[in-house]
Amino acid sequence: MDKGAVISVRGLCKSFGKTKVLNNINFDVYKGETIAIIGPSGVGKSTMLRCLINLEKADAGSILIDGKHLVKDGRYEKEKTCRKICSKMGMVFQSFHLFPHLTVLDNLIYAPKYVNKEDEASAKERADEILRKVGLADRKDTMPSQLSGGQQQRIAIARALMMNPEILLFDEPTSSLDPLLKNEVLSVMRQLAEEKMTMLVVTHEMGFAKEVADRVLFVSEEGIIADDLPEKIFNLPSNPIIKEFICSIKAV
Amino acid sequence: MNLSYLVSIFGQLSDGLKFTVGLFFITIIFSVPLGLILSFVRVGSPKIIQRILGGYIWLMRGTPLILQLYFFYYGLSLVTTIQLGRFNAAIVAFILNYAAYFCEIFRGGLLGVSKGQYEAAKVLGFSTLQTNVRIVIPQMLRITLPSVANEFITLVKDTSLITVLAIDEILNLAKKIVNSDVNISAYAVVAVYYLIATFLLTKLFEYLEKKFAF
Repeated sequence: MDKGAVISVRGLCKSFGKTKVLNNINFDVYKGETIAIIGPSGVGKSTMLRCLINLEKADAGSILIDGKHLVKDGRYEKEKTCRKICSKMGMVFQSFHLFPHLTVLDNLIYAPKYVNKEDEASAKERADEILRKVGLADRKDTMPSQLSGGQQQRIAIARALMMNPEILLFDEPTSSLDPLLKNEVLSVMRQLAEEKMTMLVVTHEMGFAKEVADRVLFVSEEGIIADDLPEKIFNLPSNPIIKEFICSIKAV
Repeated sequence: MNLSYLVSIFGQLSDGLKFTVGLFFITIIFSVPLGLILSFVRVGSPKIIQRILGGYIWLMRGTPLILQLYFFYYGLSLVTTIQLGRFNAAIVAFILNYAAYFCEIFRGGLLGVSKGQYEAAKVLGFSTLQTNVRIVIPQMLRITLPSVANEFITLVKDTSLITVLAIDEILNLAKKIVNSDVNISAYAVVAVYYLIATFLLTKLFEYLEKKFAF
């Protein structure tokens, strides 16, 4: 395992019933990197991400988060320890998963207030600041259902940022948005990348992967078949699977 | 039949309100929390406990409430040493019966809260208890509000079933007045009581649905 990495994954395996989804996955993530995880649908990109934050349990392998084992050779730490380790990470989902019964402001301050026991006034102050950052300062009293998808996703990012994560995981954050709404979310993510937030982004946004990512992981049924700079993957794909995937996108 | 006669019946029936209204509120106060607890047990406990709970719900929903009233007043003392008073027997039967229905309503509501809500709460670090109290239950209650309103309104009318235990709630009083006066107007007056109660409940739930809309 690479001790300098903020995330280090070795030999990760995961099956759902008899279907093997992840088979011997290995990769490292370094502080401040933005990593795009691309590849065809159904090869386990999301599952891989979900294993990192303990939403799925790996069957075998090891995951090291910020120097601590979440799972070591298939054996998990105690639930409480796992929780602590995962608290360094935030996650943004494809369908946002905002809390529909809470206003935007409450969506943001609930976790700081109830999980971290932060003082409400200070949480509100930070919420204002973060809402400004995602361009939604005027929406704090709105219910999520009254927001567009792009706005909801930006709120979801803001909610994750409220917990001061060291790493942010994005699971197809723009896949359920139209092109216009995609851009407002991608620009927030781009801004985070510039601020050197460590990010892992499962995405089908090739433009984002190419321009913003420091590194691209290409996942296919065989696992991670390429782990390289974006320009290498997009311009000179040597592997036929990657070539086919890239060409099919360029054809659009 | 004149107005003053109707008004006098209205007054006489109010003597029965303590049983009708009392049974209503006692049933709500105990069966709603009990149903809530049971709904969580029903979705998240070992198979054996779920089976037992399933059996209880089957029994409560599968037999008439009247029969349950008979059981708790007449039957219980035959199989145990417990002899409940009429009204206490009614209370026990109603609470257990309504808790079974509320359990199923809340279970339905819990299934209506998406998996994503639990995942979002988990990645934010909420404990299981916090997730349930802060995130899941508020949404579940909102989802189930129309069904809960239905149960409340049904309960208003079901309180009349305790007539079979010869408790002087409003319908039983009305029946007595009809028999002694040989005049059925008391039935119309008692209907007004139920209509007022269900009207108030309907308005209350309309307000709650609006207030907690999301």
